[in-house]
Amino acid sequence: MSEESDEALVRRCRTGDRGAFETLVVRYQRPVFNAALRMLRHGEDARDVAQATFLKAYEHLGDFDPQYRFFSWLYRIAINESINHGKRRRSHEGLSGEERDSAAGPEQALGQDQFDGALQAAIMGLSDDYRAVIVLHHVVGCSYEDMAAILDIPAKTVKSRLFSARQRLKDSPLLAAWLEQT
Amino acid sequence: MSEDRLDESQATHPESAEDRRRLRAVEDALANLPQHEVPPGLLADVMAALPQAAPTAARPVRKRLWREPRWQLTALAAGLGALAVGLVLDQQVGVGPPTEDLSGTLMATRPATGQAGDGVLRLSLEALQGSITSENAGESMQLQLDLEVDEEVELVFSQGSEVTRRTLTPGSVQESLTLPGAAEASVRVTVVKAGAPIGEYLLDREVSW
Repeated sequence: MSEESDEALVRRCRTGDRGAFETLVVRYQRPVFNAALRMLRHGEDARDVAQATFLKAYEHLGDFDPQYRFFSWLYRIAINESINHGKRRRSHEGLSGEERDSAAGPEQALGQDQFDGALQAAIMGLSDDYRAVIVLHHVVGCSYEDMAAILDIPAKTVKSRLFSARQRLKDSPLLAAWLEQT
Repeated sequence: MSEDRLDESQATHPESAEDRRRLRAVEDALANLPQHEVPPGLLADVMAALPQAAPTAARPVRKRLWREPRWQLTALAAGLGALAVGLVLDQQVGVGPPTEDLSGTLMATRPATGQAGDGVLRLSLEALQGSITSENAGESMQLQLDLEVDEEVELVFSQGSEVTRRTLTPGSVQESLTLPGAAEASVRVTVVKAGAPIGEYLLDREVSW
């Protein structure tokens, strides 16, 4: 049995079929959560953002334009929610993103090995724009065209922004020790 | 760039070669970023928090155009334009108050009109009442005036370029008047008061205004 398309599920959602929306959540909760996690670093924040993303999507499903891909629209919400959540947190804590990233160790952030933590810390040191293209391309797996649609910028800008983001990661002091060893 | 030339470039610029190596290492690391499992309960929490109502399109906000400055200016311009057109029409076509209603206007009085019936022209003006009887008398036309004059008026009898004037002062006027060479022609009678015509008539046929 073939999988029901996003478009068909969205149409059912609009008629009040909550089961159709549940299918969409199951389908996209993992990439949405991982995108939020890489954007924010903290698991609890990522969980909150993922939940807010799906709720906002459901509430505005009536306004969704079917000429666009549902996942592009969903990831756009997720990225924007993550950026806004990060700003609120920084404002609340009174720390810049860089200071907070330096204060939080890799183990505290992700519970992964040291390298993963260092890489995540370096990603957190990027600006929101650079971090978004890294996350969409390397975490979610979006193409340049999808990223252009999600971020509402030309594909050429996506490519140049992605190149600049990688250059900054390469020059990040957080990754210097690891890069020396490789 | 061929392999040989790349090797040569790397040998010449060891720093750029090191940069490329580090960049490639970063890209490999990004490509292998681990995916994390979704926290348990996320799906249930999302579904529990969904509103009961089906998602509907946001109700479009009805714009109140007249509150936007550019529409206010447009409406003002349209109003002024309509006023200008109205004024032009009023002057050129005569759109305005009825000609009978002269109160509050500077329009000239449109004179009363009439025609003689059976050779008798009856006049009923505020300044002049009575009759003018016409009769052919050979080559001329003989007129008999039987009038009551309340205000000074002037009677102007015209037939082509021939004009005969008669000033009447208040009181009864009973007199005869001969218009030479008017037997076969139409004679126009104009009653003039204070320099303005207040009545105009033809003695032998209808007047069409």
